[in-house]
Amino acid sequence: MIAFIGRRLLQGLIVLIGASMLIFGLVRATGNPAALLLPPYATQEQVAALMHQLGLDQPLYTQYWIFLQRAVHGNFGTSLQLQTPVLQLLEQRLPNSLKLAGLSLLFALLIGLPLGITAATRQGGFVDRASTGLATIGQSIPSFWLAIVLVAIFAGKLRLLPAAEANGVSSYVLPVAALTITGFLLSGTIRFVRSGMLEVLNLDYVKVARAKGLPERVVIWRHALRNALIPLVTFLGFYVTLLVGGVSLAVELVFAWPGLGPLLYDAVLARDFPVVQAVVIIYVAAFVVMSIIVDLLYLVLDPTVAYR
Amino acid sequence: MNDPMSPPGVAATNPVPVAPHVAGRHAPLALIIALTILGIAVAAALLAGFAPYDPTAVDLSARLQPPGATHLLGADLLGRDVWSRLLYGTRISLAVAALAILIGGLVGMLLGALAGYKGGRVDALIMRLTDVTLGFPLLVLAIFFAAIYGPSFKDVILVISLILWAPFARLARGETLVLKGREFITAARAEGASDLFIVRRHVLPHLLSSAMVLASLQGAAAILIEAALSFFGAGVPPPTPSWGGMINAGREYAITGWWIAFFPGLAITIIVLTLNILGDTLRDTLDPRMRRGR
Repeated sequence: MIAFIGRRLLQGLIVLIGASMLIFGLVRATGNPAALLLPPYATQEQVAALMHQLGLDQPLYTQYWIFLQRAVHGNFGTSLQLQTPVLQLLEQRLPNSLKLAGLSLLFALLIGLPLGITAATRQGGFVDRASTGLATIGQSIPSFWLAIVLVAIFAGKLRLLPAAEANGVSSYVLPVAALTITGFLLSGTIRFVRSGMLEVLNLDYVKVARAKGLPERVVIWRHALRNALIPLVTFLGFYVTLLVGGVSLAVELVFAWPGLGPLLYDAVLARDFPVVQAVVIIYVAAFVVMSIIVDLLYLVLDPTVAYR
Repeated sequence: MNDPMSPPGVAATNPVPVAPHVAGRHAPLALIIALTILGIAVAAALLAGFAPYDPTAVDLSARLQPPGATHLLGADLLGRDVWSRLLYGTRISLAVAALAILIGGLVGMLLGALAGYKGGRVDALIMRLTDVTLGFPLLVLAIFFAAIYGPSFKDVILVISLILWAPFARLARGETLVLKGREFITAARAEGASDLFIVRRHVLPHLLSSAMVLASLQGAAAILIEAALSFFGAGVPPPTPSWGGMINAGREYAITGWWIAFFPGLAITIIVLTLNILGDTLRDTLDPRMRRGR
């Protein structure tokens, strides 16, 4: 067990270092931030002075080493554009993104679990067809488009809900709806619960539970669902990181949501290296940690999975 | 229901959980509808030259004109005809998706087959590469590409191939691991064929049907990614009309000019839905697991 975790941590660390080098090189390939920070009439000397001050005149490997040393101590530098420590920006923005992702996940489970279970227990029935259809349609809709359409209807036509920014409960409704319906959050939940349930419903232990005369509700929710959830947990583990790291970027942008999306978007356009590096590395770290957690959850949910 | 995927005898007690209503009755109908819609889309792309207006012609007198007789689907904030732009946008979307799938699919299948066939360090390296690809926020990467080189048709295809190769590689690897032990591979090796030759000549052709299924589903993803790239201004550069770019142009006019973003998004949804249904139907009819038994 310890060796297993150790090995996974080491692998994760390698992926993380690879990704951090990649992003470090990429941000610097986009051009010189000093050129954007200074007015267009700045002299060559002024540009050179600023680059020296920012440490950008050093060789790439030296810059990377300095960055790595600071990052290990939780110091991601200061935003070039906003003159605020990157860590402070993350503390402001990350919770807003997580709230959006968490609420969307909650609703996807509230809707998707019952639909997936019913689809499996009454295979080929109305709920099965409708929810499979719903899943396919949902994953075909561009999230940012649905966001705009929802704004047009509920903020424009009906004037029921706000079109932008995080002010109060009502401002969560449209972005959460857009994130839940589109992509794979709801559709994946329905599909994985359905196929997972179909696989376990015919297994002997479920038959035994039924034969013991347990009520169907207990058989389904207590006995079958627990094992059917394994593929879903894996999928959601990865998808939620993807959601925060990419899918919600566009939706946050449409709603001018004070999350990581618009922060990262602006930072890329302004060549704000420290912000971009920190955000991307945190995404990758979250992905790595998530994959380890998923592996461990496997062990908890299914004791027959052996440590490799 | 007679399921060809389960071995005889097992089927009676433990039916394989494939939605029978999709695999059976509705499969041909869904396939026909999907292929018809794709045919219409391809026709629209080819015949875009007959569009009523020049897709880039600015006409400020028609600015934000709602759908009507002169402009079927309305006009955008520069007075350009939405219907004409939509038709031209079909070209971009389909061309980008097709080329990206072709490149990403070929590279992914080749690398995956190589990983599965060679095993060891080659396998470990290629699989870690897929890890990094799948774990990296790739939309950000794409916006970077656009920021470095300025967006272009070529880069958009490159970026989408880069995003989509990994699932092909994983698929090819898994299938190759199964194929590897078969006699004809051993025979080819005994004849002294090189690894690359065996992978290209004996392994890849066996992966064709599962690759087709994945290509259809990934084609749907490619169109969505192209739209997202254009939405972020990292797609095919303006004034060339693209569906994602049109949605972005309508972002600030969701309330006063809903038609600017609505119709291109609807087009995306229809095409992506079609490709998804096509992929699902193909998978149910020629599931790769069927081929392994032969």
